[in-house]
Amino acid sequence: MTIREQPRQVLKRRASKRSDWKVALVFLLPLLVMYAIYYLYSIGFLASTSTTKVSVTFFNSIDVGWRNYAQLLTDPVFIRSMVNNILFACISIVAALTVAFFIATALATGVRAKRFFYLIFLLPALMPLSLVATIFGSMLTERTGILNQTLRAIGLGALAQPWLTQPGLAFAVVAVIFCYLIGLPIMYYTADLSALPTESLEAALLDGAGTFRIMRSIIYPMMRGTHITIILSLLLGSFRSLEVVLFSTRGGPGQSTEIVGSYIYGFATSGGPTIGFVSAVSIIVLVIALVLSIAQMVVTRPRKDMR
Amino acid sequence: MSVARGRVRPNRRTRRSRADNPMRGIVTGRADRITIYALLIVLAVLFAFPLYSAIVKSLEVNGIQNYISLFTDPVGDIPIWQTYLNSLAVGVVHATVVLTVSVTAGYAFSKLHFRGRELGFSAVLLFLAVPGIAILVPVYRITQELGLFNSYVGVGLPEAAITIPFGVLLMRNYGRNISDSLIEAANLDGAGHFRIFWNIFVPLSRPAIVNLTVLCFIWSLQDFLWPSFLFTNPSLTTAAQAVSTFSNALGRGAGDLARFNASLVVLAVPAVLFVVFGLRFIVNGLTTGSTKD
Amino acid sequence: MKFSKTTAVVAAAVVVASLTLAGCSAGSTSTGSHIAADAKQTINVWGWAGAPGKDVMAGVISGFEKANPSITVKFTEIASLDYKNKATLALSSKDSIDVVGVSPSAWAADNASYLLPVSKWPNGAALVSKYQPQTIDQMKKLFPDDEIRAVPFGSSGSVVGFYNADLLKKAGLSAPPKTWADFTKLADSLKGTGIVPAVMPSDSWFQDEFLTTLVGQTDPSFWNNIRYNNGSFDTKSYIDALAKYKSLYDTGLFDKSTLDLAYSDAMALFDQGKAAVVFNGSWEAGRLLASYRAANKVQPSDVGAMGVPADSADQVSARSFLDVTYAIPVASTHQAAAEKFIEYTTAGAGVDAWASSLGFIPAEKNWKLPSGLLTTDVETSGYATLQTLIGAPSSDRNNLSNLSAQIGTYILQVVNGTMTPEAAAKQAEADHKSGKYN
Repeated sequence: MTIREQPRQVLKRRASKRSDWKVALVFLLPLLVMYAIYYLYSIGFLASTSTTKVSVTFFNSIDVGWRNYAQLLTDPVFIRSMVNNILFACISIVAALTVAFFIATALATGVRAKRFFYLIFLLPALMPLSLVATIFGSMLTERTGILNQTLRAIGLGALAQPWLTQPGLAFAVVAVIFCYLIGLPIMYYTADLSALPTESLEAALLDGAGTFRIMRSIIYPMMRGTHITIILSLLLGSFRSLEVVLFSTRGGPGQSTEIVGSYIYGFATSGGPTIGFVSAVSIIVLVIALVLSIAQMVVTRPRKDMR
Repeated sequence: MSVARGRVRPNRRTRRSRADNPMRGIVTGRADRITIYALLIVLAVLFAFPLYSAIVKSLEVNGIQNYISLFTDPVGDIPIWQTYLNSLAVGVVHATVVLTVSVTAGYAFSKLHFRGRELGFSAVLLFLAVPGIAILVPVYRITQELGLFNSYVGVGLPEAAITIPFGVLLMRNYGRNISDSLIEAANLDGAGHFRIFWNIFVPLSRPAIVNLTVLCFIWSLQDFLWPSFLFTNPSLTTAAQAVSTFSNALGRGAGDLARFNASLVVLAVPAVLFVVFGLRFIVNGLTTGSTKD
Repeated sequence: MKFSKTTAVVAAAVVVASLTLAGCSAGSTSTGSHIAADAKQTINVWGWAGAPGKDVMAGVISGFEKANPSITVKFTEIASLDYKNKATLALSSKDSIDVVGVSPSAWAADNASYLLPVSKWPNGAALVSKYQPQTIDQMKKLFPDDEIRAVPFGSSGSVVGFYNADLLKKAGLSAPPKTWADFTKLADSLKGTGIVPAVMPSDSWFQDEFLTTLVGQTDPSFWNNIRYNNGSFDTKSYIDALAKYKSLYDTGLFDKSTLDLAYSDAMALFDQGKAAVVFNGSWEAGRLLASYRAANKVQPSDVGAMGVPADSADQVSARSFLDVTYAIPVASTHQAAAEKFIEYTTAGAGVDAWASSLGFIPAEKNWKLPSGLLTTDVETSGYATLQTLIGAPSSDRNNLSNLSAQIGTYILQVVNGTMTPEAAAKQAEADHKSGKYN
């Protein structure tokens, strides 16, 4: 018995090293269930409704073929909302790579009242976006907003502007809100700064380099991995931030600040037979999201070789 | 684990010395220090201005009474603390599902050997960028089919579906940093995969698990999309949703506007608590997990 | 062996997790249905904020419950902008709703299949005879097959103005301005005071309301033509109205700096005495009541109502239609009790309780405003003006809400000078024909 048992055990162990696919299946089961329902089924469902005209009741569905897609791809507002999305993401990335980096580094140098500063800088990113955007929206109204009132009170009334009704300014407002939410990048930088290899820093210190030069020329390049993580997370995040627009400018004036999320949201909440159209937009957005994900994988892959 | 935490504490106390934290040493001159403080203070003023504006508005017309009345006379019949509890309940579902799926899948993708592992992992990551709004229509249908309208599960599940790709990425990356020798040793001792998972993998991944949990609760607190579509029962209103519910319920004049701003200030309180108590866990998890690889 | 044990434990973990989840779903609605007629039953009533709203309905409900001790009413109020979406979701997910407020717009037809035809209500035929015939005619326009699936509650008109009588007196106007020439006098008298002559919600749906009102002054058939005869937005009258609207801002009668005011901000400005006139729907007529003004800290000591000024006084008009209607969902398990409530509220003893708040003019036959509610001349003549405007509308306010919200964004662009009236009319018509919004 022992003689027969032994080889089998060895075999088993080797097998388990080579291929644990049965066990893997068990461990992956929850994931497979969630993906099957929320992604596979979803995509199939979207594909089938995207060629219909139907309300959210899914009754009386009318087949309209490719009309939804045709309308969508020729809708200047949709195109603009895509472009805005990318622009806002880019602006917030620039803010993250400069302002957030500075804040995280500065706070890591042991300034006083560190907790207080963290509270101020991180709070916006942890509040509901709907809350942040609403505060901005009410703060910036032309007549009654606190910003213009404050400007007038301190004698800078000339700077008071119609922040929300002039297209250029409204665009800037949304961009500023995106920049206001750089708490997550600050956290990423803070996390990686605490794990920074110390040798090169010490070498720079011995060289007698100034604070800002060390920040710019030594620490900044060492954070390359963090920069990439931040760029990608902000790009992805911008597609999820419909509240930023919805609760501040409501996409206006004249839909000039619409982003993809708020564009879809408007149609999805109409209560009318717009669900087929929404499905078509969703399909396009999904395609873009998948492309972004692939880009992410391609971009992050070389880093493994560099380590 | 308690041993490990014991080790961390003395470290924190001695951090003030320059040797332990070279970052402290990079501020070399007085002028640099002043510049840093000046910049930080200017930024802090800019960042704090919106909050200041909300507080000023919230004290108009009836002063502090605006805050008191939020608790004595709930807006739209939803007590404001109830919205926190609703967000919290959704967060429990969200975190439970995300952890169940991500930790098991993270183990499979980092510690098990099977054909197509990398391909499978890439397939999971494909959905990393999917925004919730893109699966709004099918999720609505799924929730309808499962009869999950007006339930915390109904909102927690789609939230989890969106978080899972990130969760799997985090747990898998973290898992790869756990030494394989521990697993092999246990395997040689005859421990089954489940015992290895439960007794070795889960305890060693604790920082990443804690990080993921905290993030799930934050995201549930922030989520506006799913509650606004899947809750029709006003008593289930979550904190993020309350912003719009209150704004609609308080849309009738000057006093209402001040009360609305008071409610905004009160709704920001959980975020303050997250920064004060949860920040360490998030930053710890980020250090050791997601940013590597 | 090892494998199956693993399976078992993982399965157990999944079960435990799902049980935890199930435990969390405590918030899900579960209303037991009590079919027996004489047993205690609870009916769920859904309405949107301001139609006529929770505070007002509380009085109606307590009266009803006193008259019908076996029925308890649970009233759910949903924010008006969320209502169409939420009510659709609730109806399609078979939430237990017994009485549902139906918005008299394209939404009614979209959701007709969820609503029980009035002819199938236990007492439907008799009930229908209790309303003014023209309200039933309007009702028929809402549903595809002339089969009405809701009964009328009340009517409203839009756009109308509410004015601060104190400020008008200061400006030397004895009556509210009927023409833009009169309005200019008011605006001139306010120069340099920091008080704006007029405000209105800048929400895009309301911009569309205002513009449709302006068109109605010169082309009364415009809206009905679009709504019922598939007419066009790209008409001379519409372009003229857009140009007129822009000119109101350009000449300083209206103030561009008010174009970022949301609904509540606009009302707040008027209530604080910082605007002489606020344009809105007649559903805001509660301000004519001294009791409302006291309770809501409305600054003006006296508030009246007027139509939107026109080039000549005889053109002043508004669009009006049913504003709130009540239906019984097919899925309701308390249809008899639901009908009792609807009858009490819309054609019975409950009418006075909500109609006294002036939000809507009841559809019930022979209803009269209880005397003593309105005390000043300004209030009484204001209410009379509203009744006239609603009674003789330029056209039906039977809206295509999604399209309106979209077109409103073009109107704002015209005012801002980033779009010409011609382009806006073309774009509006293109959207109308595209079928994307309606």
